[in-house]
Amino acid sequence: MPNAIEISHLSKQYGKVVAVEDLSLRVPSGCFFGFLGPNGAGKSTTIGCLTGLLEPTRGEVRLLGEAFNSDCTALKRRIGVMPENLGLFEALYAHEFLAFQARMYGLDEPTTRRRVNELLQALELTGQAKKPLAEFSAGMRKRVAFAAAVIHTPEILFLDEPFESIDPAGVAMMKQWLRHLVSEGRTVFITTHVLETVERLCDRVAIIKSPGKLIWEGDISAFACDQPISVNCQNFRTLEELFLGLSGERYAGTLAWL
Amino acid sequence: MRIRFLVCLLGLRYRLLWAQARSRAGRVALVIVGVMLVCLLTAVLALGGLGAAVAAVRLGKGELIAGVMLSTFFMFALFGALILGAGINPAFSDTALRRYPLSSFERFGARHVVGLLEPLWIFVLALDLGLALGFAALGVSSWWVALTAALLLFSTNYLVARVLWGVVEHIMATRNGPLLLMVLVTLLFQLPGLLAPALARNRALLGNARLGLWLLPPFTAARVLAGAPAFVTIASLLLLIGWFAGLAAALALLERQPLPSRTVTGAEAHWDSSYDGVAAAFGPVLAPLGGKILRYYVRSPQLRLNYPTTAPLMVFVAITFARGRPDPLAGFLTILALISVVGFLSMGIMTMNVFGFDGAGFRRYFLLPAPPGLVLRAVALVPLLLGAPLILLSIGLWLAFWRGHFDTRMAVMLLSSGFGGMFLFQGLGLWTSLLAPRVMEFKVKFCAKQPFASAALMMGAMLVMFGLVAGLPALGSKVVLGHWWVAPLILLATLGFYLLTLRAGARVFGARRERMLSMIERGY
Repeated sequence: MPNAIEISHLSKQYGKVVAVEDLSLRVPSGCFFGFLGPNGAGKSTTIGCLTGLLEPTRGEVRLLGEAFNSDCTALKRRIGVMPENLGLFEALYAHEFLAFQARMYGLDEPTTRRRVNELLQALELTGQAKKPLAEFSAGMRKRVAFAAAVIHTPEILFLDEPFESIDPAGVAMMKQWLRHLVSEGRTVFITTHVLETVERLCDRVAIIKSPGKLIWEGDISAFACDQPISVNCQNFRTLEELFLGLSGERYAGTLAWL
Repeated sequence: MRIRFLVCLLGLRYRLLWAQARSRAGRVALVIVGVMLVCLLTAVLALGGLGAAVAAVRLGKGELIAGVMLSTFFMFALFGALILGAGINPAFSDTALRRYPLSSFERFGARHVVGLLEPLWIFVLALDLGLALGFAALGVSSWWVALTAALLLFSTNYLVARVLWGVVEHIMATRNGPLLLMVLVTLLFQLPGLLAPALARNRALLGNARLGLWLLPPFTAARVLAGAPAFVTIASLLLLIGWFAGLAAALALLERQPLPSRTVTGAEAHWDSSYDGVAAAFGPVLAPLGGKILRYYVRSPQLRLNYPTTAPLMVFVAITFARGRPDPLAGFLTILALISVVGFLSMGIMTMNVFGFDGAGFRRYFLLPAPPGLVLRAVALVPLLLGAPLILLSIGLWLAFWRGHFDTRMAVMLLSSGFGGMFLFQGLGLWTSLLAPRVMEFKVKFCAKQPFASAALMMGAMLVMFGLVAGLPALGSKVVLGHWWVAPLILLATLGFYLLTLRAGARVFGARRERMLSMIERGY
């Protein structure tokens, strides 16, 4: 089975600013993949290049074994995306937006209505039918964006910080759905800052630092053993230690006036 | 009120304005506006001030001329604020200011002091001060009295604009708000025509109307500037203070009233939507996008105001403008000119910057399994769908009142003018949407500030309309009808331009994707 995602020497530049530099990565099919990095490392830019939102400056992206770029509408039908800023059409109602998504991805009318109703019920968004998305809370908007990403049962799901702002019950339900998707052989590519979630859900993890340079990639099961992971002559016992140690992230000491 | 907070907010306001200049388009706009403002201010202070005052005093009609000029400035400010949206949308909302340690009075004061220092109001202040100081320089009134009257008039002008804007906001927030506003606007336009005969017949009524006019702020200030006796000057200044206090209180009361919420909670999803029914006419591929864009157009608060008022207003203007003209077909020539913009002006606010209203949703177009050309086609088809019936309705409404000669040539010319103008300006609107998009707040009901390119296109359309209104009668109906075949040729040319725009625009849309994302999501 081909890899779900193959990134070869991906670079993205905005004028003189390099956002991602020479990134290469392979994500096997049926994998729950965590893509980590500090703020501004290039995670969202990478997802943008993988989903057709942005055009890479150099390099190649392959999804499901086929070359991918922003014009590949056939491949786009097979992926689902929950972008960083959610990308909602805020003047629409929730069911209108989800129905729009479903129809754009080729679902017929009866299937569209059934799935929209089921999603709204499952995500506790029923009873908000006459409220435009602009008036939803941050958590509700995220639920709608998540529903829009999964409504057409994609083979690869890209989620950019999906759990932030959602209440614990909502997060638990989303995790359950994502695990189910992966168990069905689909691939989930997720970025998040919540490392505990990554440790619990993901099979493999990649860590990048600015500008989009891969600094570590490996199985999450490596942390399950008693043996520390050795990288660059440093030993790390937990994902948090590894992340902070390799990404150069340091937390500031307490401020005197605080 | 703590002045240091006000100074900080003022500084922030102008830093935000300067920050817009970080983009190339922003710098161009700021330089043009800045240079224009300086030149205009200089010209206005020179001409509008001393020159007008000298002319007024020499003619012996100081008070009358000052009253007419100040009224003109007053109405100009109201037009600029309420119709063009200049200087009326607050730089800081009350909600945004609540994060700072300010009392409600300080927030109210801060918002409106910052609002007074918008470019439009600075210009109006220059107009008022120029005239007032002109009179003072001639010795007709004292410097302090003239300055006080000008400042009070200016403040009152601002408050009137704000109160009217607030009233319109409240009307628009109600269920039948757009319809009510349409009726009020139509009545307002009808009022001079209805009142004039009654005033001409009834001298007492005319006298009362004159008195009413004399109590209004512009004429009250004019009395002060023209050097009225001390008692009258004091009474006039007190009247201006009364206007100021009353309007300030009305504004405070209006801002305290929450806008009625139209959200219905607990409602179930309604599936048999007329939007999707109409969009189905676009075909199965375009239908979902068409339905989405149609919803945006129909739900736009500004469109809901403009769209229903366009046809009756155009017809009313056409009939009124042609009254008393020697050419029996003057009315036809006027509607021929006006119909050229009907299919565009009513929806221009969206058509010229269609992606700006998507905001964060804009990026979703590139995530969807749809080529850019498909998105652009859907974006283009919806305003055509809405514009066409408006053109036909305008023609039908005008024919219902038209008593003159009408033949096939005139019908062909009207249709060609309407549809030709629609294709031309909507095509240009697609280009401004692609090349100069800017994020716009969807729920602003009135007077949204438009991007520079959109405003320029809107002005261009108005200039074409006014040019035709002036030019066609100058040619005469005989010449115009004799060359009736030019109109369908123009229609064909504009249709060609529109189709070329769709083709080229699809390529541009794909190629400029990231630039547009930056302009819409980051503002530069």
